[in-house]
Amino acid sequence: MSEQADFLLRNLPNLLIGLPGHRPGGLLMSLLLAVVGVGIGFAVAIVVGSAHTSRSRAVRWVAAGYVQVFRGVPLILLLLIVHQLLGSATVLGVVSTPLLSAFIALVLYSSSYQADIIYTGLRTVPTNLVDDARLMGSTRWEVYGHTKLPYSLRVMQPALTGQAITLFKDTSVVVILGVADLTTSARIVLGSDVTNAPYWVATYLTVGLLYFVVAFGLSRVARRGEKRLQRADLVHSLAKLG
Amino acid sequence: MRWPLRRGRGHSAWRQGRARRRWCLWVAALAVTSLAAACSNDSESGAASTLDTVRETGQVRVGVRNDNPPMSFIDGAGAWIGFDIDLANAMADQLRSELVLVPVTSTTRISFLQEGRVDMTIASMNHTRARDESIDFSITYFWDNQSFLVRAGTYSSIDELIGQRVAANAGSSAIPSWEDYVAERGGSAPEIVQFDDKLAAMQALRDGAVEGYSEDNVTLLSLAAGDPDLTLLPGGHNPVQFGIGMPENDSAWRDQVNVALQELWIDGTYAAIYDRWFEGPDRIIDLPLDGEIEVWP
Amino acid sequence: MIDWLTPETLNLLAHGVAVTIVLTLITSASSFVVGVVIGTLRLTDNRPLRLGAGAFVEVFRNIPALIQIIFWAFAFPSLFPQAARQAIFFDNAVVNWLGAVTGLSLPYYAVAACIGLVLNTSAHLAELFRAGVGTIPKEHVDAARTLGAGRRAVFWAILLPGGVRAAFPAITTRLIHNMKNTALVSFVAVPDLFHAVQGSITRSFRAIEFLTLAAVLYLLLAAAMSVLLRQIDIRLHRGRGRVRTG
Repeated sequence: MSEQADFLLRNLPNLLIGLPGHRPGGLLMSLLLAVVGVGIGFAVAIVVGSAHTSRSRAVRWVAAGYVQVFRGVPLILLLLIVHQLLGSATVLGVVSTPLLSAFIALVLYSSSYQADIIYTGLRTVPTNLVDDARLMGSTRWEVYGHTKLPYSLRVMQPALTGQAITLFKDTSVVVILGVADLTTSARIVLGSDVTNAPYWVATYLTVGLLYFVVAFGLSRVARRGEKRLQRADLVHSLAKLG
Repeated sequence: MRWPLRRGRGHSAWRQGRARRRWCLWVAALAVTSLAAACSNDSESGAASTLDTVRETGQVRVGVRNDNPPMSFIDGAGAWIGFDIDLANAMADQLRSELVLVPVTSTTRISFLQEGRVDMTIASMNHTRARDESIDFSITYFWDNQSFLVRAGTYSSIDELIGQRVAANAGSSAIPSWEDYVAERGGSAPEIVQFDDKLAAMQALRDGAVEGYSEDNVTLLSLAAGDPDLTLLPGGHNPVQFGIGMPENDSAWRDQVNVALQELWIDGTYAAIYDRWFEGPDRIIDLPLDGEIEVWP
Repeated sequence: MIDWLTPETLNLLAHGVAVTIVLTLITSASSFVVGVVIGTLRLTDNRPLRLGAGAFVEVFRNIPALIQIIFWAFAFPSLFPQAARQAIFFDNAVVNWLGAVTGLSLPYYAVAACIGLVLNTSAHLAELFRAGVGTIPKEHVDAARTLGAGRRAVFWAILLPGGVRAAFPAITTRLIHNMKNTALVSFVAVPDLFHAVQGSITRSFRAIEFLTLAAVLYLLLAAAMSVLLRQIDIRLHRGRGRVRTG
């Protein structure tokens, strides 16, 4: 038993921040992948989700197609496709690497889910809210920027955070490109020495625990944040009434 | 998230309308994907020789693997090392170019060549006729065989594995070779489980899911090095010859690469690299040299 | 024109599609049942059961499916003595029978993959079902109780159909996600569509063609599931208002 503990202690840094020479890696890389995927994906999703409500049929269809394609294909396949298309091409002055391919695929994947959520939110904006804003003399774009989008994001915030946490777990499949995230690091740790074969259970339990701690922790924090926001909202509306 | 808004009666007609619209969306999505594929196929690259681009840019892009010790792998300190890496460095010196290493996998090592993303791959690649239909190969630079790794004490020759369930890497040349080997000896079609991951195949072997695991001996030796529970059966069913992969039908570039390889053989660089990994005192595994690079007069 | 689709790869792909469809059906159905059971347990008055079900949901939905699949396939057997593993997992009457029925070389790996997928998906479905039940107006339950309906009757006539109906769009999304997750079984040597595509690429060296074909096939599967589940959704709502007496 102490051998198992020894092995884990020795390799915990490798799992947390990556193996020497592969840093940042491990859990840190998983978080980095998720942050980039969710962050840039969010910006793309606002554009795509909004385009989905456009008055132009063509724009609407392109946005809907984007969502449908990137949500309908397994992330692991999307990773391979993006990597194959990029190859060693130079993108914005950066020589393409598996990491860049992973970032791009995660942005495409995450943005399609987020765009659908934002689109749903935009459609639930009460019409009287929009009408009021229009009556006050706001232009279409002002209504969109000051009323519809903030309303949608606020209403859909739980869904968006849920999606962000899901993406964090989904990043584990970047192992197919060899990006040194937590899953890949576990693989490298186990494969680095033939005598590590007895440690599969310990290693994968630890990896599972690390994913669990982050995902569960984040969802708890997010839920507390939502409750606080809701309370603030109530105060806000009461103040307005007064 | 949408469902609370959908409650209420009499919505089935509306829902059916939505279902139809959904169909249209899926059709659109499929069309977009197919179109994207068509476009990507059109963009396959042009006609100039790789030799010109390498001379022009002063860089040679070499596809190498990073998960295949002792041929090419990443060491504990994160450095890219191995026989193929040393060879790639020597080749770049010989071609008076700067070396750019591009990581490839057993899948991308051929497709990246086809699409002009790398100038050559030194990726422990067996020269086979099937592969030669898609890319070109240099003269042979490495000689090996494919045998089986088994649990110690279970089998003593590869012929005893005929009729047993065995493992191989997905797409490995060991698969057709073992099928032929078994057929020649009158056995029925062998049961070969294909693994995407060598570690998984090793675990399957240890757990008794398969009776043997076939791959290049150099790879098997390194996977099992130091494990008393596993042994490599002597001999093999598939003598293999590694070649450097190059884009199809680019004879100027192919000549240049072949001549560079011969130069490395003549000036002793090749022997020094081989010695470092397989014969010398610091060798990782013991694999005596079993061939020689042809030298054109 | 399509010279890269040889009979050999076509056969491989057809087999892969079949494996993916069967895996999707088995894991979807099992996840639905397990999800409803766990979701119901989270609503009971029995505290240990409720906490246990809660732990199930949080553990299995917060660990990536890939990790769970690899764990059951490659780590779990090593909890048993090396000499016994072969007999327990790979060579016994049950496993050999499964192999004969499914044509799979190593049925245990497929079972392990299914366990991983079902635990993950059912944990998500349990939560959706629970939320769905939460939208059922309390008066419906109270009314039924007043009319003398037992707890079982209330569950079968109100909570189960109502919860499933309310959560169905979200359940659809999760089941399609589960279908896409079946691609992960290729990590444990189960010859599904994704495995077949990788095999075809290493055989033919036509990467982008096969990857695109795979994308189209997965989109088709997702579309088929979406349409099928939508029909079920419509059915579920058509039945609304009819009260089962029990």
